[in-house]
Amino acid sequence: MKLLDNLYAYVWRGTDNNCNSYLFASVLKGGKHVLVDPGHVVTPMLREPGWGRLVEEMGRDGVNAASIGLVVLTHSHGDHCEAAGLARQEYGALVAMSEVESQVYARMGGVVDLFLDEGGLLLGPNGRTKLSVFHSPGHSPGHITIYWPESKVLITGDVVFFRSTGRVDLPGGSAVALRQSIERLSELDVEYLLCGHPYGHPGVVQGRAAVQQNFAFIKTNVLF
Amino acid sequence: MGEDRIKSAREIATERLANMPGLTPEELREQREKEYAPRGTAIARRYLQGTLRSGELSAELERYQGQEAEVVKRALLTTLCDSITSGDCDTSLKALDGIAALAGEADLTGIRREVESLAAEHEERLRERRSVIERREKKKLSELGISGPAVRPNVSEGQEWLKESSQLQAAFGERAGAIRKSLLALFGL
Repeated sequence: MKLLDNLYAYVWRGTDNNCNSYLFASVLKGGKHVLVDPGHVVTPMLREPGWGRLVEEMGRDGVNAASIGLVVLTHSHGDHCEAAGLARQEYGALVAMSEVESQVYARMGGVVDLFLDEGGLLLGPNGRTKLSVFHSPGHSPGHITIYWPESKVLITGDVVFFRSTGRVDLPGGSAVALRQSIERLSELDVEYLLCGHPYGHPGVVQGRAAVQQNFAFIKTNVLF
Repeated sequence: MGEDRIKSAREIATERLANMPGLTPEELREQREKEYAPRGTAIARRYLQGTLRSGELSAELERYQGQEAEVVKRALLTTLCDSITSGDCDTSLKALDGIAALAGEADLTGIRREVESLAAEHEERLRERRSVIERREKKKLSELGISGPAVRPNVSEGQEWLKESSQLQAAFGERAGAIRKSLLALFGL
């Protein structure tokens, strides 16, 4: 689904657990794309083809998966990062994530080409697409979120969902850190809140008011 | 009739043992080494892992006597000496502290300085090389259209870094080896 000129959202429509994926099309040299969180290759319980469906959906939008130049991973859980290895192996895509998360990813056999620290991430010739990487721990210790100030887009991974938050009971999770991360993200000017999962809602919250309402709901009803 | 009775397994084993020649001094030495050297190594490991303090090493050795004690002490000192490398200053200095605790009057100040300066030099060279490779990798990424302060190439995974660091390791390893040799010589090992 095309959200903006070069930004696509791929909402997971399967039954099993898998993540939403987001794509910045043709932003790198040679018209290569940047994919955020490719998800599972095949989902573990119901064996649904996560990567296959994503490639198919991208194809319908005229986006060739073979042209993925960079895969950005918000964190190292399999439902977000499993297919990154495939993109690296088959298409020569580079894989990026925080150094903290890369240690867990490496234990699953994953290879990271570049680390993403908190700060500016510039994509394209002359850094045309200016993104900000935020360290947003809580769901996992080295979790990152991606903010695109120019278009007011926030890709949240598993920090914030529609009317809920990421779980904190997995290794390295912290409710205190998650709360702080959400407090911080809620102060950003956001028109498109792009969540890591479609839990009871596609996970794409559009409009500043809706985004603010979502943060307010979470702060009042979810965080305590 | 008593001579015809069937012998027990114990009797057969005792008879066979009585007919076997005794162990040679060399075999006895080997047996002692096999049994007691691992105990010295274990004491060293416990010390390096922080379970024992340097002041407790002598007390550990006092549990053994005679030739057994010599074997344990030699293994302990050898393991501590082997832990002195150019790449891990903290462990090297800890090993040196352990050696000093067993060295009696021997002055290890000079060797300590040597270990510190070797480790610092190794670290500095690694940092320099890493920074050169990192700059080069950043440039490559920038040419692909990936740049900005958030971007830090994962140099450690690259072949270039693996090659450079192992070359440095070999060069500094030789110097660390010389330090280890001089320490072992100090104890007549």
